[in-house]
Amino acid sequence: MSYITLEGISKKFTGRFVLENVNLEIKKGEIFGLFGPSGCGKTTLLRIIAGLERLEDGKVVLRSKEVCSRTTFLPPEERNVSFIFQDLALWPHMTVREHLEFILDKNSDEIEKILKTLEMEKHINSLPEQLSGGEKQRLAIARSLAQNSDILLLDEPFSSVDFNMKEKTKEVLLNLKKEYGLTFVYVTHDVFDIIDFCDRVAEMKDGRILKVGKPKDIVKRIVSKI
Amino acid sequence: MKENHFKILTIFIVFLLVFLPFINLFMYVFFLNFQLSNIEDLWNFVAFSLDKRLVNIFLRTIVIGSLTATFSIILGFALAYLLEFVNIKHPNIWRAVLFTPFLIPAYFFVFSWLGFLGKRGTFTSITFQNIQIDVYNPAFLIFFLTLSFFPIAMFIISLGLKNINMNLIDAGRLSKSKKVLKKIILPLIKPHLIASFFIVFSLTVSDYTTSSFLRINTYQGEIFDQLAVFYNTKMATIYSIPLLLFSFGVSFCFYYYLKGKRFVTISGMSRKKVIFVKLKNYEKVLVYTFFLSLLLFSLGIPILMLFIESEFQFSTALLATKNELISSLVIGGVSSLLITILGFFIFHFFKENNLLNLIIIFPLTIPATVIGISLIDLYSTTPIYGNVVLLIICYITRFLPFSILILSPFLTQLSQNLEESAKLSTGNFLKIFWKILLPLSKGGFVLSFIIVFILCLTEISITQMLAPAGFQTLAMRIDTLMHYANYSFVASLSLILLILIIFLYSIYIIVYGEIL
Amino acid sequence: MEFDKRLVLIFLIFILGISILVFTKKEEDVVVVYVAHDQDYSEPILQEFENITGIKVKAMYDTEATKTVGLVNRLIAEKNNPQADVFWNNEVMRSVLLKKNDVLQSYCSPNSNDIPSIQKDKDCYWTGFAARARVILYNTEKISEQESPKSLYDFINSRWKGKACISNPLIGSGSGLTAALFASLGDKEAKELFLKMKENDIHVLESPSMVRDQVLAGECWFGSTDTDDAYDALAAKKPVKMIFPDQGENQIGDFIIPNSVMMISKAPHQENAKKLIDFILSAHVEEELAQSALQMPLKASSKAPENVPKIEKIKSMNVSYEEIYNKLNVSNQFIQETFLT
Repeated sequence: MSYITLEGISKKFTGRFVLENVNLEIKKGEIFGLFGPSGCGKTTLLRIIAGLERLEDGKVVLRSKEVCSRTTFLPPEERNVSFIFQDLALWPHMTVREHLEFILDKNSDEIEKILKTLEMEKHINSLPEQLSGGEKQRLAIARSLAQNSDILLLDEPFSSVDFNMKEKTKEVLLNLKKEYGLTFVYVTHDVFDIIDFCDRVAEMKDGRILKVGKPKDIVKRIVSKI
Repeated sequence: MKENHFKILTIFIVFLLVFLPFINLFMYVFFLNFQLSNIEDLWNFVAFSLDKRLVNIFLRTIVIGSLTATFSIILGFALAYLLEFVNIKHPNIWRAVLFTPFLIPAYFFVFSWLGFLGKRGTFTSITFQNIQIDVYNPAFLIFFLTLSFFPIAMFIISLGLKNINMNLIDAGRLSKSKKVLKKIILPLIKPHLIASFFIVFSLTVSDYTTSSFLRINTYQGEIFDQLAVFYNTKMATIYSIPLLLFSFGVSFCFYYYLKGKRFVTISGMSRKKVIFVKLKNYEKVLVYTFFLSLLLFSLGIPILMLFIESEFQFSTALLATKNELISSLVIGGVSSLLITILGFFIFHFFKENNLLNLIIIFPLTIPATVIGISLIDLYSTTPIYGNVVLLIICYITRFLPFSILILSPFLTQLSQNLEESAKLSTGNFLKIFWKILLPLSKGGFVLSFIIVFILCLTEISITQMLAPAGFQTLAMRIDTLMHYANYSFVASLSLILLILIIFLYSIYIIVYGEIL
Repeated sequence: MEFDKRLVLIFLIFILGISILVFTKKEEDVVVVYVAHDQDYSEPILQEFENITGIKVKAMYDTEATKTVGLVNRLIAEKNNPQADVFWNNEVMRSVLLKKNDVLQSYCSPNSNDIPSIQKDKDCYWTGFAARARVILYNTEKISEQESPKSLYDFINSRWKGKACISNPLIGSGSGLTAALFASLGDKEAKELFLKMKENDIHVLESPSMVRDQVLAGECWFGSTDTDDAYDALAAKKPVKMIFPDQGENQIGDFIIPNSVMMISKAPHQENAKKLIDFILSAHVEEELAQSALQMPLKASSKAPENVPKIEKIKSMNVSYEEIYNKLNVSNQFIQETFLT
């Protein structure tokens, strides 16, 4: 049963199609990768799912409920999806605690629980600029967890970290996925990411889906083209 | 409250405060009492107003405006370029100080320069007594207005230079082309040059007090005459039409030319300062001399002359005008707060829209007198008339563009993602505004508040038209005293006002370290 | 309280504050007066009225010299929703204009009975008091008494080319004088006079005060200004002298400029307005203005200091204010076309 359904999604920017007739079905609990070169529309597609962009045509269905189409639009805060941005989008003036308090009640036990899960307790009063790269990543994840959403959209979250950090963060995400039953939609242009992280992958080019399949099949296709 | 609600409210307020007065004016001329004006009467008015004398005055005003704008851009570009790309020391401090003349009303310059250059002036007395510099001519008007307005050109052009992708310039330099300035930099900042030209032109054409002091009859003066001499409001409105049409025409050309391009930059990232012009020491001395000369003419001499003319009557002048000072501070404070908040919302909702250019440019093109007439006509039978609220409305109409301009570089620094990550968890726009957007752009808020406050404090033309009975601002009092030739009081009060302006501006720079 | 509820509450309080400001009923014991007379002289008088009667005076000041919209335009604009109760004008032309525009209401103050009929409206729409006159002020260091100018026709004497100044003939008492000349001499002769003044390089300054100032400084050797500005310089013992022009037998006489006070039609505080008008038209006020501003009393019952000339001793132009008013537009039009190019 499809958890996230995209039907006939089309989107234009300045008269040019950046997404054209995109159809996808993502199952509950899977890690679904969107793979392709820069500018192929992966991030735009992710933003459409989140409600941060509107579409020209098509519809998005989340948890069997239509959230946007040509005639309807549910705002982002009502879709209950979390998003980890490429630049993490941490609020520079807020401490770790304040990041979570923005979403949860000040006195919520949930804050402590999330910070403990992500081993961020000792940084509770730190500003983002005082955190290391990995800690910033964990803060971004903590914030998305605070939203209590079961769909997590990740837009190239590892593009600015080193290999070790990436592996550690992937491990954290996988653990969270298991614990909270999350569904990931994961955007990347890194072939190695899709092999060891995704359950299924959609290969994109010029705003269209070329193929959807297992990571191994997609990688074979790419390699054979080379 | 959702973002859409705020957007609708903002659009409504902009329509009510910015566009409605002018729609009303149009109706007043062509559809008085909801009846189409007699076309023959209208034609007679128009034909009458097209006499040779008036046309000459109109053209003279356009020429003065164009020349002032041209010189302001040249100065503004030179300063912006030197401060952005050249290896001079403390560019931020220079930039802040060079912006100060804009905060000082142009009529202050005139008053103090008349004392310096007039027949009995200090300059005349310390040079040869026979030197008689006649300042009562358009050349000096252009000179004084350029001194007053070049900072705004510098500010706008700086925005453009800051947002140039350095790779584009570097590509030109690597190809060893000597035409980097002409072929790369200038074309890239064309929208900013045009915006600067238009804004300075509008401010010049709208200025009345300065040209009146110099006894130069401008088109604004003609509009005033229709009101103050002939008491003919309808004719004053008709006289405004050529200026309005001219402004409209240029606004729309500007709007269509800039379609897709914005002079209020909206790129999310600002780049670090890059220096690629390295001057030798003696060349730097020339640059510093240029800066200092400009400051001497725009600040040094005026302040010195005000001191001399004041005869140190500060306390007497202050005691005599304390009520006016308090009134000015209160009305300025309330107005600038409202203007800054509204300016923020307008920029936020329209930054992706070319309409933003129009919202900024349009009110600036309308002469102050016309704004006054339209507001009087619109509100004279409402409880708002004869009340300070009307004055606040008028200040919003007049100074909103400045708030938007000042906020723009601060708001464009904000990555869109910062707001979007908040939107994912809450639809409460007020909360997002208060907790995310405002703290991250507070430097811009404070600067906008201070600058708009200063503009409100020193505004005379519309204030005199709309201030209610029993209410007088400090600027009105200074103007009255000027015409009663009480120069020592004028100079004392002007200096007090100047010190207040510089004090506020300095506080901002010290507290935030944010420099234009 | 939730975050946005707090902000909405603050916003509502703010709106409530604005509404109170806008819609609060006008205080009963107040009078609103628009004053074109010099604030330095008029304010103490209004303050005195306030002290005596306990009626709060809200005053709006103007200056005759500033080319602003001015109080007259404001009064016309407010016709359908009058804000002012009383207008204290420092001349008469605009009072006539306001009457013609149905801005005024007739009120015959008992204190106007001893004012000459020529100095008040026959239907009691406005009443004159405490007059100034146009004078020639000359610098005694530049001009001797023998050769001093004694007539407005001296402004066209080529001997004084570029050395004379006048206050703006388009506004205030300047425009009154211009219209009076048109009424007295006729259009043709008046136009010739002004054209010759222009050929003689006359300096046009913004206000009578500026004329005084330039004469004092010697930049103009003589100028046409008002008595109160001239007296300021005389009182300070500056090297200037004052002359009432055209006093000879076959000459046109001088232009006398009384203050005038009037009630606004549908004034919000009618009774207080009448009290204020009565006070302003009292002998006491004329004596105050004679003392402070050296303005010549018109009331028979007023006593003036010795240094203030008696109005009956000055030969005035033989035209009524209505006739002068009728020439206002024509003269203004001509001046605009001649001097403002």
